Amino acid sequence: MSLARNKTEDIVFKGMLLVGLIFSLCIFIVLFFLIRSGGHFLLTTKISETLFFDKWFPSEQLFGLGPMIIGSALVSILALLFAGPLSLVLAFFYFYICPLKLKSTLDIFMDIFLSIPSVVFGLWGLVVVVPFMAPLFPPGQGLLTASIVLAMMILPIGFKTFVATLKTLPSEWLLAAKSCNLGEWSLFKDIIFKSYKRKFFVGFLLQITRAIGETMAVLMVCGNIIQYPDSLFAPIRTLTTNIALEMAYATDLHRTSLFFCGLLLIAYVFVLLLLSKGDEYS
Amino acid sequence: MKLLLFIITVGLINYSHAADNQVLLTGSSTVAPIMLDIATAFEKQNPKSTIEVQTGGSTRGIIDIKRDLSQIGMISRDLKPTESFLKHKTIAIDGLGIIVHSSNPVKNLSKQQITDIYLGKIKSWKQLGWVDKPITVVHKAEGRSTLELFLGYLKIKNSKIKPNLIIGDNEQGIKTIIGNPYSIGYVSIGAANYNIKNKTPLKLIDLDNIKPSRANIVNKTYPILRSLNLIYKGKLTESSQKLLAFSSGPEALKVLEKHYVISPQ
Amino acid sequence: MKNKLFIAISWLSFFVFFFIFFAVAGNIIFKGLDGFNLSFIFSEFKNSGRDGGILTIIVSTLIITSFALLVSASISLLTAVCIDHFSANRRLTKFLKLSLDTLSATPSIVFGLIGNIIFCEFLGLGYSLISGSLTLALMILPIQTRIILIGLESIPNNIHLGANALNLTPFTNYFRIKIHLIKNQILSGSFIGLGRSLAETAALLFTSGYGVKMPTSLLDSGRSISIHIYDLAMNIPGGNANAYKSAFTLIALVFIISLITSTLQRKFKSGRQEFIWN
Repeated sequence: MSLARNKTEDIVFKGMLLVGLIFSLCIFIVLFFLIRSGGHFLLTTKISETLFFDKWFPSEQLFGLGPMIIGSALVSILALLFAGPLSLVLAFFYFYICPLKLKSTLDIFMDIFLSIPSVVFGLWGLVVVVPFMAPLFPPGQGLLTASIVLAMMILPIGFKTFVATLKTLPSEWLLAAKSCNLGEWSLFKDIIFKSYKRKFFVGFLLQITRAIGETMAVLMVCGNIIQYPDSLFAPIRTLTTNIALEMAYATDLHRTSLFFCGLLLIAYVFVLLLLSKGDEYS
Repeated sequence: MKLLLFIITVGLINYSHAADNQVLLTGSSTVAPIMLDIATAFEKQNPKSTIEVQTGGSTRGIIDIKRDLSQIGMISRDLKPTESFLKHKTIAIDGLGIIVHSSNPVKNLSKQQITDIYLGKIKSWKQLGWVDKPITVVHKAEGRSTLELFLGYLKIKNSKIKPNLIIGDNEQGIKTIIGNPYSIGYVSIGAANYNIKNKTPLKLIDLDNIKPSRANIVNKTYPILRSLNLIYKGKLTESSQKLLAFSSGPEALKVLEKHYVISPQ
Repeated sequence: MKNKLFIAISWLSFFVFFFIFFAVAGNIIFKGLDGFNLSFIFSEFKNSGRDGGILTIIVSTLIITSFALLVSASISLLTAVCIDHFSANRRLTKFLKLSLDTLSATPSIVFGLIGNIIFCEFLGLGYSLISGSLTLALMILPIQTRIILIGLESIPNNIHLGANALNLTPFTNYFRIKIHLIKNQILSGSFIGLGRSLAETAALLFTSGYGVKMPTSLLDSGRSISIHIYDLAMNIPGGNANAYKSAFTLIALVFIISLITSTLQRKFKSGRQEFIWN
């Protein structure tokens, strides 16, 4: 192995750097193509007739996106409310309370849960949860059902993230806490939560980002009605399910509007990203 | 090392061109399962041919033919006047049936009643002779030919319909109806019958006292009918021609029966 | 006592998870095992998928996933090396990380849209396995890059100093020395990518197509297991039974992979003695 500076190696490395650079900026390629296909949607319609409008009938040139923007937001917030605290407590449990023998079982089950395709969750929701909800809260498919199914889907991601975060806790802290005879509650509240609040917040935002982006599972249980929900059980449609539902059949302006939905989704996650890690990027 | 592997793999991609004995069909998700079975039977008799069937909706069927992306398109409706430059062959007749849960005692609905249900004027099953429970109206998403057929029959605009749930594909609708005993929806008769014969708790309702039976579809008394068509343009390759001819042959008829649709003869 | 209550809640969360897990997985296993035999995995597709097996679909899925992993692993390594190389330039690094993170947060259906435009139309690859796998590679790229970056950033300082002192080229530095230190991260990144790929549906819906034949080239259309499950459950009358069997196959597959991973991880574990709480 020669230690002298080798010209070919340098060129190869510069080439690799270029590749690396291009791919780290991939999002701009994505944005470019999205804007190319969906950008002129905003130019053809007035903002008052799309973003805050509530009627979506493409065959009659009505493109009200308002209810779907709200739908996406609500369903993901609710899902986070269900799954966030649960995954956090579960991660804490895994680390500090779970007996060693159960740990590997929990690990494997989480892995399996993580890899269950979204269609399967949706199918499960459609044939198990919806028939349960329908007689009690007609029509059965809606905001709450979708949030429940989504919550189950984002649970494993939250769990894995929080476990990874908890792993970075220095052993010395644990040793010190144990020697002060602190209980688990105190450990959680006073030590872990206080110092890792920021990192947990990041974990929550990761979960909600995943929730906003989920399509297939929500498609089957949200009802797909375009309206501002007036109750927890009202059917809704999200930006993602709208794209999945209508993409194959859309032409011209309708198609453009769906690409615009894609742009809105990226805007959503970008804002969430800045919220969670703003300081990391400034 | 990994890069090397990558380059080798990319180099191993062999480019397959649309050879003369390959046929690609795209389009309606209603016709696709039928054509898939017909294609399998065809390939048994013509081992050199490769038939590929893909869904994507009737609209995709038309677009792909226009853009020369496929050889034959599948649509679950008739060609529109703007599409008259395309040629078509009807391989089956299907109808649109109104479905409810099997525990629902209602046996017949008039066209006016259905219109009122979908416009939101009739809200409870009590007005139709059953319990006082709200009707859950299940409707299809925009762009699908089933929706257009239904709206065309009722002669109302989509923006006037007041649905409680919107579904995408046939089976999603069926699963929704099964899950909610107070729901009503519409679906292809073939799909409904297939499920009913497989003991799902589903029921087809008579329309204006006309039963959605095979006889009524054949003699065209049932009001909502549609033809399942194969579309193509210009000159066809030999394999495509053979396939088209095959789709009205005896083997194809067996497939149609299995899918509970009627042959146009 | 607050402590006891908290421990009780923790155990409760554990049982809630198990309840949910068995509600979902149990439903799949129960319905999937009904009439299941090994020939399902190895036999051909029949009758629109209602009968017969899913051999061709498993092959398609394997091709899509492995090609996606191959591409993504290579490129994410390069990307991580690139970002680490520029780590001195704070502003550039933060900008690159932000771009990468936005990509990782992008919804999968947007990837489906983009994959359709870039690979199917723009590059003319059509609905094919390669369009699907390249789209998937794009999806799992940011996560893998992040994990490798974490590995690179946690390399002890004395390695950097030693490399500088010896005046090693960047190429040697990264690809002959550091790469051996981050093997663990590359592996775990790949497994997370694998899990994500197997579960992905929306991105493949518009890119790899619905083909059911045994694929003979990367340009053939083929469907992955998740798309197959979707088609059977939502499109094909009577497809329910096989949808569940396919879902069961997938879960069993993931279970086996997960077992292998955890065994491997135990072998690669660092020997440092960690303090265990109880």
